[in-house]
Amino acid sequence: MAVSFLNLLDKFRPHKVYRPSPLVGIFQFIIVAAFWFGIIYGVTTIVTLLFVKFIPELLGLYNLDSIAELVRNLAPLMAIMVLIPANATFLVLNERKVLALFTVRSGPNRVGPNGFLQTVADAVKLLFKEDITPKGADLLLFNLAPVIFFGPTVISFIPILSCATDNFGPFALCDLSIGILFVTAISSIPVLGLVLGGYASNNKYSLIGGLRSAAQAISYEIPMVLTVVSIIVLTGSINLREIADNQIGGLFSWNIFAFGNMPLLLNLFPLGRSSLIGLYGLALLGMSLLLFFIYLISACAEVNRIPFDLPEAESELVSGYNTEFTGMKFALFFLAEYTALFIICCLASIVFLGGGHLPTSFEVEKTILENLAVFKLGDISWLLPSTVLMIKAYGLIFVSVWVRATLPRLRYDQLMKFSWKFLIPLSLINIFIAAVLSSVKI
Amino acid sequence: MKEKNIIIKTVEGLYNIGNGMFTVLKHAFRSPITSSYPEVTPELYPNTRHRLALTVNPDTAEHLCIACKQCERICPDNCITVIPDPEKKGTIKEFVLDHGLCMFCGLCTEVCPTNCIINTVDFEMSEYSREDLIYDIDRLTLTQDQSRFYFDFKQMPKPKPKPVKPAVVAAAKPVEEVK
Repeated sequence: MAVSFLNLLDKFRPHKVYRPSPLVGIFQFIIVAAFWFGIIYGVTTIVTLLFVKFIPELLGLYNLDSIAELVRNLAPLMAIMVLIPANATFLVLNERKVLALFTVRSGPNRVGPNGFLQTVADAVKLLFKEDITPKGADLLLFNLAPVIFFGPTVISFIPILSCATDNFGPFALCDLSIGILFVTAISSIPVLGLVLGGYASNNKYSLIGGLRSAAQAISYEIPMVLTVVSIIVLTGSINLREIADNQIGGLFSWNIFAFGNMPLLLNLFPLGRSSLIGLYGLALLGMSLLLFFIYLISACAEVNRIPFDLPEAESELVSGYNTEFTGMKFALFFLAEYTALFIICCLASIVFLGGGHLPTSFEVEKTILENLAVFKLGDISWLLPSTVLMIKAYGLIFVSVWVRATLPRLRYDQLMKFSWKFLIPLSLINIFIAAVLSSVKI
Repeated sequence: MKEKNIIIKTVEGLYNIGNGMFTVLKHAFRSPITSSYPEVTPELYPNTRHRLALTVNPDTAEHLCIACKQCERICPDNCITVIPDPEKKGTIKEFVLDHGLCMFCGLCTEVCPTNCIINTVDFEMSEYSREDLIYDIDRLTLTQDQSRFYFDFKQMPKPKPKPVKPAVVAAAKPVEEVK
């Protein structure tokens, strides 16, 4: 029957069944993601250009060269301040869209084409909400908690930026010699914000959430840092850009593949005198994969991702530490949480997946970089490493959403047991093995 | 012994998690089960129970209700009020149905001898006040086309035209059929 009388009293309506092709959702999501990448890059580039070029030139007209120099050096900070909100806006949308794909839904598709502006609308809504302080709350700590949570997240982005732009112009300032230690050290501060927020909001659920986050952060920071120590031992550097540059030259020189010692495995096949060297390569390969997975697990727990989201367990603790926060403060918590996820994914892709280097030989990369450097409107050689790093980081974020769609939340004792009885001994053993492996000379 | 146990457990756990994650990944390549409702109306089945309505004879446009009041008696929520025409027996004057009280159990449609009261597949019945949910006979009665659609859709037997003199025709009919 062509026509049914569903809304029978006033109008006729076609009786059709809409079954979109399975790939339509994925295709729409890719288009949305591409447009959002454009927005993130565009906004960040405009602000950076403003601070690197236009404002200093304007100040130069009035002979204020010292101030112009200062403004030029502020550019990386401004780039971060713009990049983080724009990026977090897309991260939330990305998470909701990918989760919708996994749970066989259409996902957010109302605001803008295919839900393109969904998180923008959410952000605007949060900005205009009333800022409520609960009765009996510790005012100072209550207002301070979101800042303590958000501030370090911004700061810990600095060394990653130098790696992402390959020391382009003023971004050379971000090139810290202790990059990886800096990131791990700074990114352990936000937990303080969670504990304070839970304590200050005069709510038992918030308090339990805050205490849980403290215990969890302490437990999972240890395997993460121990893993970083093993990585430092094996790569021989704590500068993020150096670690990334050591992995130049194709897929098999990435750290995740036996720290660039993949050719050693070839000695294994005709069994004989050299098979011991092959075994050494095999040990390195197993080591690197193990380190990668321990890092991912403990980093996931560190930023309260879903299999480890006990601090904000919805079914037990309303929303955990951020129950009482409204409006802008809640938005700050949300922003910092997703930015922390982005930072750990960036760090993992720098340390294990070759950072901003293509999985091809260096000659290809070099020609692309040289072509970009002589672009009509100026040197845009920063575009390649930053895009590659972004894509790698978003690949890892996809994995984290995938894990979120698969695994249920751990019980509290399971969480503690997993860290203290499994991950920490394993990573301690790893340091020992890493020391032995790195001391072997071939 | 115990260390062996831990290793076996780890391998098993990794295998199971990988298995589960692969299952989830397969779901990303399925078409969505949910539909975008206002744009795409759902496909409903003939015996879904939504808004109640009164049918007319699709051929002659006579009202099918014979005012037997069986629906009023069986209704658990007492939401139906049937007022028969006092002058002409077997016809209806007013039929009031409060959809605010109705729980869509469908008992009235089962008990109706003439398939007059039916559950339609229309569920968009939100109103701005509760009084608007009380439907009178004009709002309840379907048009001829709509009645025809529902008689086909629900595969109900087509009603015969109402006899002019019920007693005589009822006696005469079986005789005709025997011949």
